[in-house]
Amino acid sequence: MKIRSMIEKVDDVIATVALSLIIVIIASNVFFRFVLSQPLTWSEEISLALFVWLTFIGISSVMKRNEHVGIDYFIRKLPKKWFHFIQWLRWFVLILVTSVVFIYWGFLLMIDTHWKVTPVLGIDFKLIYVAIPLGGVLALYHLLTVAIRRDKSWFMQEEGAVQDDDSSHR
Amino acid sequence: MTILLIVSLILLLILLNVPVAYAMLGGSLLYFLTNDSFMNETLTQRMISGVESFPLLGIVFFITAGVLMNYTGITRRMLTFAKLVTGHLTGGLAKVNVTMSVLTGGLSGSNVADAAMQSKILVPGMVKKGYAPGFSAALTATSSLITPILPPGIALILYGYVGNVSIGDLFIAGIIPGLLLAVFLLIYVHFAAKKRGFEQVKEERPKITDVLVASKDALLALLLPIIIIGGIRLGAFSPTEAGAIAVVYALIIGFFIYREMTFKDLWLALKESILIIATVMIIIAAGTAFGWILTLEQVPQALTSSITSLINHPILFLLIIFVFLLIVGMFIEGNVMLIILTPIFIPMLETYGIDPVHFGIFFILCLSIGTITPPIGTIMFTTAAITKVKIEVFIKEVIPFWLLLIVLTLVIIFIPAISLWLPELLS
Amino acid sequence: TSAAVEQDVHTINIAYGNQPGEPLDQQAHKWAELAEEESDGRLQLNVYPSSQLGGESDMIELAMRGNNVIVFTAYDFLMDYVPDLGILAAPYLAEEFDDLLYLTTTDWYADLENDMNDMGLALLGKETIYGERHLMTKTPVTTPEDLQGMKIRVPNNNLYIRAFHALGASPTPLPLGDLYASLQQGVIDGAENPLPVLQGTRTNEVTNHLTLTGHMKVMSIWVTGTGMMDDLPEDLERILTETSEEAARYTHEITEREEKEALETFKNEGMTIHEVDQELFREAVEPFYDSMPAWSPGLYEHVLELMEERPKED
Ligand code: NA
Ligand code: NA
Repeated sequence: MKIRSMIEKVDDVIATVALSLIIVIIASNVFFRFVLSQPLTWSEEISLALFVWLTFIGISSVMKRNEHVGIDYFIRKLPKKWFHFIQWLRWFVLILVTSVVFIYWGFLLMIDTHWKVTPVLGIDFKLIYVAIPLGGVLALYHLLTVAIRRDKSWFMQEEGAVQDDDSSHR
Repeated sequence: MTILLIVSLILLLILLNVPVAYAMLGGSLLYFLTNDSFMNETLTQRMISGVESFPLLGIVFFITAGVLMNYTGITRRMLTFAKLVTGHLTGGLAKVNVTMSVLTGGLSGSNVADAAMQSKILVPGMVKKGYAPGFSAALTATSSLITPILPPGIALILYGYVGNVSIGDLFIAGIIPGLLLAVFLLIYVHFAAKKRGFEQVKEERPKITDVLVASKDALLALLLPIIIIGGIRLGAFSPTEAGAIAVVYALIIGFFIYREMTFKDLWLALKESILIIATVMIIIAAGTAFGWILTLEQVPQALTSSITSLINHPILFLLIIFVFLLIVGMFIEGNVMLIILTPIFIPMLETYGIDPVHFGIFFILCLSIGTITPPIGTIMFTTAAITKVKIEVFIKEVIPFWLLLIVLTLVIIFIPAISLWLPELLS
Repeated sequence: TSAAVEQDVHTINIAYGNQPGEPLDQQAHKWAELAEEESDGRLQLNVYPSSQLGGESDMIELAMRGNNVIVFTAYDFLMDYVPDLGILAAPYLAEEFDDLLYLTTTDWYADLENDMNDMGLALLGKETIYGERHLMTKTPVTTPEDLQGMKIRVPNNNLYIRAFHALGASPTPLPLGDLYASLQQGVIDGAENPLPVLQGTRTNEVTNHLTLTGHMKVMSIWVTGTGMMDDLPEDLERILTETSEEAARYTHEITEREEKEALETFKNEGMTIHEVDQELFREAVEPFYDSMPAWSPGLYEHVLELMEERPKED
């Protein structure tokens, strides 16, 4: 139970920490360059590495909440049975892309980059690219659990709602 | 596998409610499986390359700064300020709505977030005062289009990044068109409120002491856009770094000056930010990968040569692009269009002698109009959903605003100086 | 018969970051033309300028894994793969380009090329000359002392960062596309590049001083995967290699002419041009040669000896 609740939250935590670090590093670099005339040569590559982590782990956070931007206008015009079927089709495409593009190909990309390091600090790109399959695995976990739970907000048409209410996340 | 088949598949998936990014990745997946020039992992590599870019970090910062406004007490003080300045006039709250978009538009980079926020905090009050709900929602949606044009804006950063156009110049170029849109709206709502008898109970004219207090309160927040543009101009920081400065500034205000923010708020704000950032970035990543396929298949090159050989006048070119963008803007998310179309348009601009900065403002305005153009558009859905206004009602009310935006776009097409005068003056 | 010919056509993608019209773009087009001509249309080279297919290191990675792409790059970039190759881009290494071109014909170079091949990378167009790099700044620079603490934009690459550290400047890695705005806004104080590139990026509009430091003579190179080369029929492989050198030689004159034209333009536009004692800069940069830990011991001395051995024609 404890492990499960950790998996549920780990994407939010990683992405939030990455975002915080990016802000601190870039703001510090302005100070170091403008005030001390000593630019941090490594600030760009570190923040870009964290940006990759923020994005690809964050994708799982968005998946968990079913908030990826799409257009449901047309399928809402369809009869309920069709709507239901297409939502499962949508779920299947999400599973396919997540498994193949993020997890499988992301993993191949990662293990193939053993010679590539960042220019200033020499960070192994494996440590950067591992975020892609990892984010994929977390997203896949959420996709599978909504299917097991047969989560209504994923597969059923709710009465009257055009889109969910909390759109400030988009 | 022909590229036409891939494009059709992607469109079909989008119509079937597959998230836009995953539809593009699904089509691209099929392309790579059937193409033997490049390995499959190249798709993932191109996707990452769309993220590993320093200018795009600006997007991260301005999204975060926009979210922080709601947690630090900046938004509330701006609302108080806007109400004091325009609240007592004819159509007061409608004018507050526009003024508020100018004030927050100068801070936030995302119009969807702004539209959502104002739908929540302004529309209920407007309805209570007698405004038609549809009118209130349509106005909120339209005025939120000020955000992407007024610096800073995600769209400005994206266009500058993809098209290799100075983001600093784009920021400056957006100021006058953004304010012009605000003026157009203020004039329109003035007459609309008068004619339809909205807001029968008027606020009292504010006391001068109240205005002073509210100004002092909002001053620190209002200073931020000046710090951003000034800092970029003075060379203290790049447009990307300006975003980080905006975040730090908002945090200092929230923690030490207004003292409204707690660490729990900070955590919530950062969490809200990562969701918006990831939602935008996956579209950028997928769009980059799909755009790469289009380039490899020489699609932009072919389109460029066929369009430039058919059309020979710059104005005619802009008008045709205008109509084209209005149509595609209805169906596809604005940032996606920016990523796919910018590399197609930029090479054409030289042929027609169109300044890429001028074109950028025009381009972003067209795409913004698409977000409120029926039958579909992100801002339209967002505001209608939050305000619980029926889409049909929204569409009826949005039409005059939509016509207003068309007129504004034509003005911007025909008078390039509106976009270019300020950057040229300041360079 | 046309169907039979078409079956035989090998399409190859050529990718580079330079803009259309630059000498390098002309070289790529010349290469495409020569290769198509000599193979009777069996080789078809598609050119993608302006980093349309992606950045240099991503493209090298693709090439290395056998994807269908040839990438334009520089030796400092190849340091990540075979460190010693980086010395070909080191500051004040050679007196003239012929010395550098001679180095590519030595056994020392052949060994390094073998190392590249072992990593899956093949080298083409070894005779490509990118140009001599000079310095453009906002305030005058006539001695290395003037450079102290100045923020100079350099490519995001260890070799350039260390070289400008050695000169006493604050090297600031930025994308070439950000150069103009960063200078205009004072984020940096200067930039360095071959003159046509400085002109192409309009650096002269936002600086006042050109110092002819000639701090690096840059040879460049096209890189592809050994996998892709092996997939070509032997005669096409030969044609591709030969025409790459032919196109490189064809461009020497263009590069030289454009350098002169750029200098002329800068003069006419009233830019202050400083002819400096390069010896001072050469001495100042010396610590650089001890600061490259990845290089083989004695590499610098060995390369200097090799250049001494070059048969000089009168
Ligand atoms: Na508004
Ligand atoms: Na804005």
